[in-house]
Amino acid sequence: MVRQESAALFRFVDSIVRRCAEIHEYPVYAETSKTFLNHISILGTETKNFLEKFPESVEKDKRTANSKRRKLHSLRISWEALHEYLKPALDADTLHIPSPLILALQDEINQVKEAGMLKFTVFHSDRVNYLQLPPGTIKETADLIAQLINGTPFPTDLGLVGMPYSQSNGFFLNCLLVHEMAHVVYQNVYGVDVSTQKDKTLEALEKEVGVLQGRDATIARDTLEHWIEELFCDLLSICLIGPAYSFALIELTGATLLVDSPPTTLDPFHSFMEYHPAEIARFHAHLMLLKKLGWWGEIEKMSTSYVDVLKISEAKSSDLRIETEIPEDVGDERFLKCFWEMCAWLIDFVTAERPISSTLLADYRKQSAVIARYLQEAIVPSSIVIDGKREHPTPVILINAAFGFYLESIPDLIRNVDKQDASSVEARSRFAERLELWALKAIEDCRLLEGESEYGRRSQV
Amino acid sequence: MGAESRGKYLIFALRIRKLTDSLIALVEEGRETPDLDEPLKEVLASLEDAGKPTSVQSLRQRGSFGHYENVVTIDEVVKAQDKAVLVQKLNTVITSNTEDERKSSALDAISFFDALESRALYHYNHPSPAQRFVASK
Repeated sequence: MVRQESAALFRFVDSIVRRCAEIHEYPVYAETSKTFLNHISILGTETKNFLEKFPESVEKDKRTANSKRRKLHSLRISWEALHEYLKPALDADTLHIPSPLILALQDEINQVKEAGMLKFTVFHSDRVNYLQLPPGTIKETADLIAQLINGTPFPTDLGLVGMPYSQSNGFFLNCLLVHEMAHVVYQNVYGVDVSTQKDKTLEALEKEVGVLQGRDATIARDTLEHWIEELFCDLLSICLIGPAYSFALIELTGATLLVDSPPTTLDPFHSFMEYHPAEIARFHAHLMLLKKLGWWGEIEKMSTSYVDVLKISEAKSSDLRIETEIPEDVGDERFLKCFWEMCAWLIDFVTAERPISSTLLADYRKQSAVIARYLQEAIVPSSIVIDGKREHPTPVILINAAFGFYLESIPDLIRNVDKQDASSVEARSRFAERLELWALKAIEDCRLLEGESEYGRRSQV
Repeated sequence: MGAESRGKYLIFALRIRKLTDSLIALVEEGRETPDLDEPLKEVLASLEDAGKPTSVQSLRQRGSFGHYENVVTIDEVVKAQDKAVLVQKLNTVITSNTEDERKSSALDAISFFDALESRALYHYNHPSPAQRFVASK
């Protein structure tokens, strides 16, 4: 019986190994995707070797035979979990991912202390919401499989991030990928520090309301942990790429609906869920950080409802609702106080860990208007001329200047280039897509121009 | 149940399996693996605290076994078994000086961990929607 069970799993794993081996010259994969697929192939081969000897091991001792057969079942389910990510990884070849943006975001992540070696492989998802793609457990699952079969551990510095398949050439929404990358930084570098501070916050709560009873403590601890990890990733993302991250999140969540809407706490923007803080609370935290970093002064006068969302988030975040279970004796208000205490701590923490460059805002102030003029003329702004001197904007400046142009000046572009009706939704959408291509091209050129500019942190996806 | 929570049940099942492998090595070969004692102590802390007031500090001492999904699974399985006997068996695995006694207790503990692994995989395979949502709030 155990031989049949082992053979069934062997066949399943073998089919995965063979699929990984089918990668040839075309389509072309990023180095990180090859590393991921190669690792799955190695782990599969090691699992097959393990299975070859497994029946003999089971027959050795009748007392433990049944338990060992259960191990086969667990291994099968684990391989099924890895299997779910294989096709999404194979679909994400270099023609179907925004490689220049991913490299630029990876460069920024690599500036974080102790994250200098992190690389990311991208997989496609049929989910539109970037924030609902949890690839973190895949690495842990692969590692545990390896431990159970004496196999090779998952590459330490390889992170997985998911993106909606429809956004393969997108730019603005893909700024959200930095948040997914930040999850890997959290898990690899900062998780313990932040979690310790979270426990201190909850222990202070216990001093007020008494020791939490039974599962209440577990729920309080896990729920706050989920919220804080999300918030950490938001705040680190802003430190890395500035307000463009907030704008992307506002676009994804449709939060501009909040502008000029009647006050109500019943819409989902006010709701804290089991795994995510309320959007309003997140945007309020973004606003606080943008002010602290100095970015707010650069964007507050922008004429766009996206900035209005940030402006109203402070007032609206006084009306929040928790839509998941929390300890009854604590109450929403006191538990939210824990969230805001952690928020204040995190803002100080991320800005200390990843301060922005001293020249960034001054450069942005100087270059963004020029970049906008280039874009209005449909010119890719890889190199710009200011006061007769050629300059190469950094990716962070390009990302934010392009996003600002997208939010404020698309009608000018339509009128200028196409002499068409700037009020047409179709034209607006078409030109936004063009703008995304120009921005991606400009960021790609940054790497080519690295010999000429100060920006020169080359690395491989 | 979200994908995050579902994934945690799988990770829990695999961690338990790793622990079971160490117990099997102890039973079959008298071989102690270095990663046996620490997780066993964390499970013991979870069992001894089951149903009692639980501070944030005590959850931290349970390590990875202090998370919601793991506590739920342990509570479900322990209800069906005699907690006091289990605690004694696990303590014996850690502290006994007699090899036969350790092996015998380890063998009993394996059944408990098999049940934990199986229950965690059940939750992974049968996610219940909105498990923790409180509709009446």
